[in-house]
Amino acid sequence: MSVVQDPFSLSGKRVLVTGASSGIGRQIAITCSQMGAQVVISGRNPERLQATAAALHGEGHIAITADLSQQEGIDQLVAVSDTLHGVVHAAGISKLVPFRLINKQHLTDIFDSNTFAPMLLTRGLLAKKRIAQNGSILFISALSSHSGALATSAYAASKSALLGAMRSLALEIAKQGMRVNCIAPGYVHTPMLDGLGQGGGNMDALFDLTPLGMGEPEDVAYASVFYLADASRWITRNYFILDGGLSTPMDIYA
Amino acid sequence: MDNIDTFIEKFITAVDFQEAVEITPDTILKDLPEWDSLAALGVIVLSDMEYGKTITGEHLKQVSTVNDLYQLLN
Repeated sequence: MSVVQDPFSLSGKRVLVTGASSGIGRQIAITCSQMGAQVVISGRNPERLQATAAALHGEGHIAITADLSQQEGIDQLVAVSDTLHGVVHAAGISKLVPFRLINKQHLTDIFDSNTFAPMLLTRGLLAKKRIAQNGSILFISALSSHSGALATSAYAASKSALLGAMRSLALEIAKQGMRVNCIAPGYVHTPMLDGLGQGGGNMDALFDLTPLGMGEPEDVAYASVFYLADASRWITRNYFILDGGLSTPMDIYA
Repeated sequence: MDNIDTFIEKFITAVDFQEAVEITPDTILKDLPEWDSLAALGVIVLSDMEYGKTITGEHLKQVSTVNDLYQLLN
């Protein structure tokens, strides 16, 4: 009997996960390690990042504290990353602000973290040939990028911007066999979402509208594993909505 | 901290009343016809951006008048 390589396994792959100190990024890092990957994790908070590192399965993982809204943080991460087979951009921030109160500082903060950092980190990794042939790059966008939830103009715009960036980048690096995709989660139990609730958002009604209820970070992590694994080798320029059925009645592509 | 009159001006901007309404320190928030969740969110963001103070929806539920709100942010 021949031994068949499991196309859904991440065994033998090295995967960089940003935003790994909490929420979705943290769980993606843990799940990737459980699926056999060696992971490089980054986050801004050293204590929480170490907590994630301690929860990783297996050996040989690397944890780097870096603020990716600063170029030095990006350069630092590029410098320590060996050849990567996958990159997951899970770092991001959110804040509810009614449109009438947005200002340049708010827009800059949100776009620095959610849009510019993942784009510039990807650019840095590609420039240093850190991403392997047939590597997979994954941006964690958000359902809000299409659905535009109340008081999320800056956040929704920053996440929609990833869609355009992903589609264009994917064309440019397809000849190296590299793939680029977005995952767009709906409402997932995370510290970020808890923060929005405390920040004045009335979230309960939205949760009630989701047929399968709220998601867990694991749900996003499992989809991420698929997008990183060879099983998805023919999938690129894809925008994958993962929302427990919430957006289907919204006609969000109209 | 701003004086109460300046605060009221900023409050009016944050809530963005479509129908002009007279606001005094004694005005009761929930009696305002346009006081809704987006208005409350505007006040939470105002508090953060203008006064560097993080408040929540729970804090807002515990205040009654505009002056109570002013004292909370003070």
